[in-house]
Amino acid sequence: MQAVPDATTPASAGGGDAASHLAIEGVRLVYDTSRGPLVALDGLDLQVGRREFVSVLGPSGCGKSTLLKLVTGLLPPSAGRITLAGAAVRGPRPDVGIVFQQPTLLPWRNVLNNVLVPIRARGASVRAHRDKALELLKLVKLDAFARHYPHELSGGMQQRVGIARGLVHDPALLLMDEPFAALDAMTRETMMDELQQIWMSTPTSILFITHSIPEAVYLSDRVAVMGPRPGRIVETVAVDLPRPRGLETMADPRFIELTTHLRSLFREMPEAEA
Amino acid sequence: MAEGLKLAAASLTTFVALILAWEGAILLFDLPAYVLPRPGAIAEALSRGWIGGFLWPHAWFTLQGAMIGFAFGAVAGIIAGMIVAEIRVASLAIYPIVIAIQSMPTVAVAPLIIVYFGVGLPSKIVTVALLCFFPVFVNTVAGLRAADPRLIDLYRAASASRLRMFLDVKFPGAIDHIMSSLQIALVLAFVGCVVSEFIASTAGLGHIIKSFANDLNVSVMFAAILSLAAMGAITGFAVTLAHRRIVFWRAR
Amino acid sequence: MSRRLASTAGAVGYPLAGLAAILAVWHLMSAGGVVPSFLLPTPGRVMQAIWQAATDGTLARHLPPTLQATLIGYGFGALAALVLAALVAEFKTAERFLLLHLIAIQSIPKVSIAPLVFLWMGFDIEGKILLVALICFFPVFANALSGFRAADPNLIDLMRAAGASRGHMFLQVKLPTAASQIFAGLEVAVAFALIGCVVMEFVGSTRGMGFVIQDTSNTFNLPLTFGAVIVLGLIGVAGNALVRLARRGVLFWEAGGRGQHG
Repeated sequence: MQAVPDATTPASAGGGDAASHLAIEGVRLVYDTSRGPLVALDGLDLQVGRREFVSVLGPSGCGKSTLLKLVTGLLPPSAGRITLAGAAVRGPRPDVGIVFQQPTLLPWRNVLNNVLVPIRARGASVRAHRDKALELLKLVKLDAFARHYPHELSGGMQQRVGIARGLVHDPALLLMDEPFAALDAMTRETMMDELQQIWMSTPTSILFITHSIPEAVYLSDRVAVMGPRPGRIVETVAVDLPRPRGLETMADPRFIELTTHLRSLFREMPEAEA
Repeated sequence: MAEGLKLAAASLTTFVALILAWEGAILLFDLPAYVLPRPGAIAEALSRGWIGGFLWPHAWFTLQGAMIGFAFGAVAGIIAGMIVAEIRVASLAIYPIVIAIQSMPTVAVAPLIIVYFGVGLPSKIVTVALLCFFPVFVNTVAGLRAADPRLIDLYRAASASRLRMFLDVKFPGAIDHIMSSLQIALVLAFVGCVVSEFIASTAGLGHIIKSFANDLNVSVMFAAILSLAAMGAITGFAVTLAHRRIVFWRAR
Repeated sequence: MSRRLASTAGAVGYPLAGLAAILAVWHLMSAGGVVPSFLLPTPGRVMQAIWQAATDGTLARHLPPTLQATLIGYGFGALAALVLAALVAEFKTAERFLLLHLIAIQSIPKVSIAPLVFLWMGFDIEGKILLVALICFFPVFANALSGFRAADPNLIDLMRAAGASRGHMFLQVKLPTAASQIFAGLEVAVAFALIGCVVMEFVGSTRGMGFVIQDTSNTFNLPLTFGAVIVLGLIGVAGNALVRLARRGVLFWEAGGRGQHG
């Protein structure tokens, strides 16, 4: 495995501070299936610092989405431990925001009320969070659409509602599960820029799951590469490109160096079974 | 627009051809009115029934039986569906049985219900309610089960109560399924009411159809059948309209 | 492996337990006098009545006419529906001339014409077949039409570009696409067929399960009424199972859908 100089060192190169905010240590997850036990994750270690943007990059079927359930506390790990914001994850964690691949909005609620869903779900006061929701809608440039219904918006707009929804309760961590995978290439690039802006203007740590190498490098402080089943982190690459990143970043030799290195990692991986 | 015109012209042609064939058959085979009345005689029977008014009480009786039974059956189906979808044991034990009942000819119990509830309106209401119950029940369960698992995860991660999850996500999501089943139930409502009236009744359009068959007065039978069709079409249209209004987010 | 066995056992066990519970409540209501037993015979009495009907020739006399008319009517109705749906889907002209009328006829509750059919055809099998065919027609027609129209337009374009004939395209693309929906229509039509037959027998007949139900309820022989209703129900379930079996045989590419429910 060829090493890229200064790239495989831990977090400090990124924008977050070194104390890990989310810590996943030695996590193993075994599913019971009709064909016997299936080891989805094994010996998984991953840290995300406060205000850090970390991507998990992996081939399909490597257990990325399982990771999401573990961090939100919807699925207990078979072994290992997960801590978030100083407390062990043992059951549902309302202080995590989730953005899915599909917008997954409630079609019968308008945009504003969709953003407020995590507040309603927690049984907190919707009225007290209205201003916060409107502010977030402004941040994702949808303040003019607060009273619209999801079916009246484009796919990219719906996904931005999803992002605002993920942030409305000031989560300790925003989990994004391939949030741009269902968008067309043009919208995708715009969304990458917008997400960077949103992240820079909010005090949020982001764990970003993706299978797009340029997307991961463009957005992240660190990129954690996940190997196929049983899933674990095979290498972590720090992205030392200056912020804010823009169009010119993708032409930066360092950007190309990093993406090429990551690509070579995937070339060496055995094909994961679906 | 041109297509609409073509459709109208073609449909009208078929209609005229049918009427001509009808009249022609009567002339050609010398069919007596008790086998096939002339279209004009049916129009006359319709006007006597609706303008003269002798069909009114019967249409009202059938409408009552169908609508009240429909309401009871639908509400019961929705409530039972909610219970079964939310309680795991019930859904495992009861749902497959109800699915099986769906493939049974439930109208077969109509004579039994007349034994229990008499020949009047109550037996019609009960028969109709029973027929309407099953499709609504099955679709309510299916709709509640079809809730997006990611939305459920979102609510679970927020430690939302089951009730909140039900009211916010599951039930609104099931409305589309439920409204579709109401469309099916409505058809069954008229079927149930008419069959019950065939077996024994004091009034109703089914009663008219059956008793005028005994008198060999076919034009009145046709008038009653067409009236039933109109009632079914109008109420069906109302349900479709309500469906579109309520489930406004579904593009059609 | 054992898990799979356990889940299969659960899939059968729970409904059986549910059935047992229903029978128990029924028995207690009847035997416990909640409902007078002449109005609600116990499950045991009903089973006895079925057994007696099976041995004394009652079923032998009344079951075949019902089965025969249902089967033949079902066959005619389904076949006519497939042919007309194919015509309407394939030929714009056929659609223009027929579709509105078919939709209009669909709004007539088919069972309501039973006395008319009886008047025209008497209480022989022909009348039953006609009503059964008519009532089966619409669910199959509606499903087949929407199935034929659901064919992948890209695939159609591909075939057309390759110079495929209309017939070839219909058999190779449209019919297989529609097959799944057609079978769904055929499943619904099973119960419809039995309804049509039974209603004809209610209206005027001296033979058939519908006649048995009406006759025994008039004479307060309710154990046999219940028994006949149950036998009819079982026929419906069996017919449905047959259609699903056929579906599994024909639509082999759907096999992956197994075990997805629940």
